[in-house]
Amino acid sequence: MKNSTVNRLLRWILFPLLWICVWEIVALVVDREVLVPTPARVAVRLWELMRTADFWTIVASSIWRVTLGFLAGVLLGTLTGILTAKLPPSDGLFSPLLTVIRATPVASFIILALVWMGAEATPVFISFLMVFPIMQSHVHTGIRAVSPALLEMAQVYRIPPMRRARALYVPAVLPNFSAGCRTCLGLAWKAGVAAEVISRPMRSIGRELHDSKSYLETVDVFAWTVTVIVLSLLIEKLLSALLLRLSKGGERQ
Amino acid sequence: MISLSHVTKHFGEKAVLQDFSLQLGDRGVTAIVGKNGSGKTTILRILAGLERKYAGEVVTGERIAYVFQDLRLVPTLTALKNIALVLDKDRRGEAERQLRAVGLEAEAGSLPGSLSGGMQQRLALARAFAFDSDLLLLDEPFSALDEAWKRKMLDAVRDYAQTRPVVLVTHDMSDVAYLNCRAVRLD
Repeated sequence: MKNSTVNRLLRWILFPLLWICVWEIVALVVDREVLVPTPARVAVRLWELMRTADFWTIVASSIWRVTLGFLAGVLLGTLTGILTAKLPPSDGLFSPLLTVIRATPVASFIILALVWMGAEATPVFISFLMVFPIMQSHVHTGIRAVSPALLEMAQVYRIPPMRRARALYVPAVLPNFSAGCRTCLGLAWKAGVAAEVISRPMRSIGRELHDSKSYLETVDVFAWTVTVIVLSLLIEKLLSALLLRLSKGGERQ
Repeated sequence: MISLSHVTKHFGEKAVLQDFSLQLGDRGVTAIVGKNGSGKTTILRILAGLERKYAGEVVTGERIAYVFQDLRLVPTLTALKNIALVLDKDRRGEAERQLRAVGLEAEAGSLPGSLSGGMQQRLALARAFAFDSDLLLLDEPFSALDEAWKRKMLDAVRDYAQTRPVVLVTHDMSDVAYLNCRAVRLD
């Protein structure tokens, strides 16, 4: 068997199985389902949940909220990154705002957002807040990394702005943009679901987690947590494939 | 007429050009020779509009082609696309023609990083020749070329200069002798 196949087998099957075994042993040692349910029990519960229509409505609603916040953060973060990189005074203008967003505990923002905009919009806003400063910083850095020598060449040869953007800016910004998106997606998920737990919008994974905790249904807490992890991995894979296509498109131009 | 009149340029405290004047004709090569740091590249940069702070008067071209000493090829674009980048859409065919003229047709799809130093220099020359300029600026454009290619490129510069002015910065007086052109010495 090839080395890469062995590595893949270890990484994706054997090592996860090993950690599930550790979980099983811990559950058996603790021996109280209300504290640590067994993997088999969680799997059965997850299967039960998946067979209800509600499960899919809840999952879709949470994906929608997080995705909306993520996309808004990517869009506005990218535009602000372009602005602060190309117009230095705007860097000073946005700097205090970005510092405050980075330094403020997410719980404070969740509570404020709940007061300002209600339960439904809070997870969207929180996901946006996690993504916005990171994307701004990544895009800003990417644009500042464009070689000044190449920009002088473009100026002398009077290369039109759109062609200049495609040939010089996109290749410089794309690696930073992709790295920023990957980092932000995980953060948006975690913060978005945390916001749902506190704000408890209707049909949300966070609300289910909160209610399961309230009724000491630890199996359900585990089942919903597994759902979040699996969704996060799937969406990250999807995003990676999209970004790969984008970067290949960039190389072909 | 393209000219520099009584131009003085400082970098910090140091005067790189002091009351320098130069007039170019409608066509022909003007070589600028001199030791390192004598301001040769600064003259090209002023003519290219890349230096703004100087004293004196400058009249320069509308469309300028420039072979930079460090070439400035776009590393993510193929050889062909590096040339096409500076061309208007209706002149894209010129990219292939110039690539053939500098013997790089087989490298059309190669990135500059995979080409030798001499090939990269030929590519930068091809980009400049393809551009429909009214002034060509060349900064040590033959330094990495072997003798045969240097001769071919000097001939190409001479042909180009039949219809417009060319300013050539060089260390090599044999280039000036081969082109049999006007030379301005900076000390």
